Amino acid sequence: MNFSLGFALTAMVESLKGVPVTLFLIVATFGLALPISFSMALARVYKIFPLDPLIRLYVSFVRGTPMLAHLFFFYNLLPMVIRKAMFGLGLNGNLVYDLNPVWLALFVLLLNYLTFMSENFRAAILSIQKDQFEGAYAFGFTKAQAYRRIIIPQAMSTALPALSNSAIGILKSTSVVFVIGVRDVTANAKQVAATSYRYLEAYVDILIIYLVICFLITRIFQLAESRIRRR
Amino acid sequence: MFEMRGIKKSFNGNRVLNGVDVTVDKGEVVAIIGASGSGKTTLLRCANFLERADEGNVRVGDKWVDVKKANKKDILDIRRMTAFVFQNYSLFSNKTALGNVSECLTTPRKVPRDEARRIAMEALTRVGIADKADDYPSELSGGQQQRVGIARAIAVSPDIIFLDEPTSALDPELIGEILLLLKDLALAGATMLIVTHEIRFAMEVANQVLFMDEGLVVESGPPREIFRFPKEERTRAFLRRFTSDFDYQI
Repeated sequence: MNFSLGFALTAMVESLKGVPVTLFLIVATFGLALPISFSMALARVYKIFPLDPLIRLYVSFVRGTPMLAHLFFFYNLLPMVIRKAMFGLGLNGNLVYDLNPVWLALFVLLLNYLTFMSENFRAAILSIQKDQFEGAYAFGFTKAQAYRRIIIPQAMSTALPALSNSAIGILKSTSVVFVIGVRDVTANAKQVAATSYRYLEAYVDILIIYLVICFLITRIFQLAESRIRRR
Repeated sequence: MFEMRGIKKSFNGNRVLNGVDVTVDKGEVVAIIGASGSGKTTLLRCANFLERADEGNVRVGDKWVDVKKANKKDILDIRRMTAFVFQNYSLFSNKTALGNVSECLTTPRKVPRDEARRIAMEALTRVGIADKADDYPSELSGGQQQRVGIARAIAVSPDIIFLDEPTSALDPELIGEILLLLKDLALAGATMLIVTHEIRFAMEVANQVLFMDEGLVVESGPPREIFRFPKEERTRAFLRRFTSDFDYQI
């Protein structure tokens, strides 16, 4: 067995071309999941019917099934449904085949990480002492004002370490979206490796890339934490 | 002027308040005393709807509210005309001392930011912790936190301040300074309804003392009458416990 440094470098350059897609998936998933998962957490904390039982069902379904299976399932299901729907609306449904699979990947990632992040937020909201609400109510805050000014900022900083874990989880999960044809870091590495039959070099490269991105994410959250957490 | 009439409240079928009347005139200090479980704190919490009474009326200034019919706006109105000092301070842990005070002006009362900061700084100066304005509650001692709690209460210039055992969570050496601060407020004309175990404070500062037992005001009157010549046996029994350890020595 020999390790070609030269090829490792070539493969690195190719793999790096997937970084924008990987980063996009992380940022978009996390960014969209923040407000939605927080709302889900609220619905659960306040046991809002019928959202509360529905979300519980959804969370247990997603948690109990692998994301890879979701990718395969929705890759087959969604385009079909969208195509039908578009034809139904008098649009050219065949356009759905031009759709970049990255959107499907985003959908599945979101589907998965909404559950984790809503649990992160639920725990954070539940950890806030009742007196924080009472302090606000006693001075005439409406419920919305209390949430906006007092509760959400506190829940955010409490949830930050757990959210950091979720963000890293998203990063790692992006590595399987190549199965539906997304050109991410892993997909690029696999392709360049396949053309030369040198897999080891390419896979070492993506490990390094993921490690670096993971380090960056951790760093960002550390900075955010030290910013918020002076209390 | 503040009034509560015929306040009744049960928790799970357990009667805690049995038709209580309270009147606090402008500039007056009324102290509520009584054993634990007599309903003092619940009464105070019913005054600003932190707890919703089952029956009765609450009046702040010209606003009368029937607790049964009170809607969200009535409750907000009452809360925005009053202030509350908590036993455990209940400061916002994500806000500095200054932020805790100014937030209560900007968010619910729509005071412009700069003016709110100015008023908040004034209030912090008045309670003697202007130098801690930028500290978070977790960086303050109990006594300092309660000062912020009091600053928050005076900054909103309320018709009345409700104080729920404001010194009960404090170390003994800090109790005195907080009581002194409250006395200064009283002398400056603040209207206060205070639940307290500090008999001497009630004696010196209150215009009127209510003794509560089993959800009822058993006896009320000027402090000197209540403490020196209690008419009711229950009041006497309660006060005996206190007079014996007014000054405890070892």
